[in-house]
Order: sequence, then C-alpha cells, then structure tokens
Amino acid sequence: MRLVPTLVLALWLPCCAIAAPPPASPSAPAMPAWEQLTPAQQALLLAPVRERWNENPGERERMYQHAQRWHDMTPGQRNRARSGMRRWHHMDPQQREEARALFGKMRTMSPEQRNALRDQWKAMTPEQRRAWMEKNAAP
Amino acid sequence: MNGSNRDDRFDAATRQQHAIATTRLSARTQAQLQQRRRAVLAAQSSGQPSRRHFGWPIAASFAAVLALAVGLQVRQQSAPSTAAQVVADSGDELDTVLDENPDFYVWLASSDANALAME
Repeated sequence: MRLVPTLVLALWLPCCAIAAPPPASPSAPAMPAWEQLTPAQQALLLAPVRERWNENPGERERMYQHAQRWHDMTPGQRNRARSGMRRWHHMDPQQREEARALFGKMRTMSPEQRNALRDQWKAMTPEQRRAWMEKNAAP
Repeated sequence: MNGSNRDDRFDAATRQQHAIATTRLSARTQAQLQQRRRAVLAAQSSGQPSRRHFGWPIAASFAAVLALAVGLQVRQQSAPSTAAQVVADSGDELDTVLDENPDFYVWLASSDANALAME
C-alpha cells in the first residue's frame, strides 16, 4: 500500500509546480526533492491522502486501482493525464458529468462511431444534451 | 547627524542578525569555521611571507563559507512553513489525482474530447 502515497506525490507535485502562483519574493527558498524532506514534512504533505483514505473505506479499492493505473502508464500518458486533470479542474459539476458520460460512451465505440457522436453532440441544444445525459449518465 | 544615527542603527541591526545567525549553525559547521579561523590566524602570526600571501583569499573563503552556512540554516528553518503553504493551496488538487480513472484524464486531453468543447 506504499504505492498510493508515493505515486500521489510523484504525480501531484509537478502539477503544483505548474498551478502554483509565482513565489512571493525572489529570495523564497525552493523546496527540496522528496528524499531530502524530513519525515515530518513528508507526513504533512501526505496528510490529505491519509485523511481521505481513512475516512472513505469504500473508496480505497478504487483509489488503489487508479494509483496502480498511474503507475502502469508511460511517461507520455502521464503527461497527457496531467493535462487532462488541469482541464478537469476548470470544469463545473455539470460539465464534469457530461465529460464522464461522454468518456464512458466513447471508450466502447469505434472511431467512426466516436466521430458521429462528436458531431451529434456539437449540434445538440442544451435540452437535447440533458435528454442524452439522462439516457447515458456515467455509472 | 541623522545619517550617523542611521549608520549606527544599521550597524547594530546587522551585528544582531549576525549574532543570531551564528547561534543557528550546526556544531559541525561551527567546528569547520573555527578550524579555518585558527589556520588563518596561525598563518598571520607565523610571519611567513608565503603564508601571508594567502591571507586575503583564506579570509574571503571564510566569509563565503559563513554566508553559505547561514543561508542553508535559514533555508532549512523556513521549509516546513513553505510545505504547509503548498498543501493548503493545493489540497483539492491532490484529492483529484485518485478521484477519477487516469485514462479518463488522458481522454480529456485528447483531440476527441477537445473537439467536444464542454467548457
């Protein structure tokens, strides 16, 4: 189970470097590599994951599977996933539901079917999209 | 007169900061600095011209080592608060890493998903 915290930090810290605001002053010290952090600092950084893990026993299996998948990805896939995560952060709840549903539907389709759905989706009115979502909501 | 007072205050403040910084050095660093200081003083007192020749470079090295040591100490002391700030700023994003299937995030960055323009 050491995989989860190690992997989370390996993936999360580069995202922070991109998303974080510029340092307050040019003299602000740069944070060291993970190996150079003290045990207390490592525990502090892992606290959100630990808390999430302990408070949600029902999610542990899913979290672990996702961590395993991150681990199995190639560096190129991980970079694309981080890019997708940044897009995800800017979506509102409705957009996220639509994205989940479209992903769930498209991953089972052939390229031709995906193209057809994409064109269909772009032509839909908001009401038509709501109706499509009711039929195809992600589990 | 005012300029002189400012200089005195600046001098006193600088000396105070230096005194505080030197108390924060590790025992190992202090021992190294003392050793180098003794070497410089010994070279000066021996009166050997060849040793005297290196007095300024050694003193400059001493000052550089002191400055580096103080800088490292300050950096180590400020690290925990910086780490805490990173967590405070990005806690939600950390959760997101394991929230969704990573393949879903890959798809979100794909041309297929970009063409859908969901935002």
